[in-house]
Amino acid sequence: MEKLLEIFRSKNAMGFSLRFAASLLVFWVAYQGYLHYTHANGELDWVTYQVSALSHGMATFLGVANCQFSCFIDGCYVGREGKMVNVLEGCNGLKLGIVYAAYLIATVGMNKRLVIQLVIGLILIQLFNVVRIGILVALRDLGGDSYFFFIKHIFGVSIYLSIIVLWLINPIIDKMFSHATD
Amino acid sequence: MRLTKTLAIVTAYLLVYGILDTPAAHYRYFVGEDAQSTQLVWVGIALVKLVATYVFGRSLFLEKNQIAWMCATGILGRLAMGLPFPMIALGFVFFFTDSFTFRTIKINN
Repeated sequence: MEKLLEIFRSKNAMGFSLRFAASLLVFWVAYQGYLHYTHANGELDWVTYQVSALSHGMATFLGVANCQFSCFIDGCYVGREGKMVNVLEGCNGLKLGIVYAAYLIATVGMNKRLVIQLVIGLILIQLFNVVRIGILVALRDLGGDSYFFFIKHIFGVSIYLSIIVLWLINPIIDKMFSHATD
Repeated sequence: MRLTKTLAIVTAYLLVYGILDTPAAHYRYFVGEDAQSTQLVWVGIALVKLVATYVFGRSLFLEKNQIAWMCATGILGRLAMGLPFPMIALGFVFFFTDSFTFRTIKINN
């Protein structure tokens, strides 16, 4: 048992892998529990609903005329009639958020400063996701192949890179927090 | 290695990973979701993605065992939890690549 804990705490690939996988598992179980609870109540999960509602606002802001918004238990539809984008549970950005948070916990370890940072980071990821879906709705409305190009190539890369930026600024924010608490 | 070069390699990997989904998606669209050949194509593409991940890891000087753990965790996350494989791979790259963390990494593997 002690040896297992030693491997778990070590800085080598196996130790990091175990910490990362354990954090992923904890967050994933919590998320599945939350999804199970909302579906048992016959509702769409709150995060997907809010992401869709905000994306609708974003698309309207970007100039999509007669932009509509309707939700069902399996997801929401956002956009102009006949050109709607289906926002499913998998589009709500929480799975990316799980990996983002699990990495930081596996690297830094859980502490009060990290909790605040995780909350801010998760909100930023969601905001980025809202902008992404808003732009997709606008591109779908414009027509042409740009929608498919953006959804397949550009947005996948950009949302991953945005999380790398959040990981990169982690030590800077950590320093700022420690200065503020000193 | 400089951060800009590392970011360029990461971006290239993500683009290649995304592009690899296209032939599988087209095949599934024309042949059907349930066809056995569709599943074979899916497995083939998954293997090519693993090769791409290996090349990606090596180009950033990751050790072979680090890449093995990266792929194992990524496959577990993808198949058991539906989490994005490239994001998990990036976590490993971020942890073991000194141009991200700005430190010389000397880890006993």
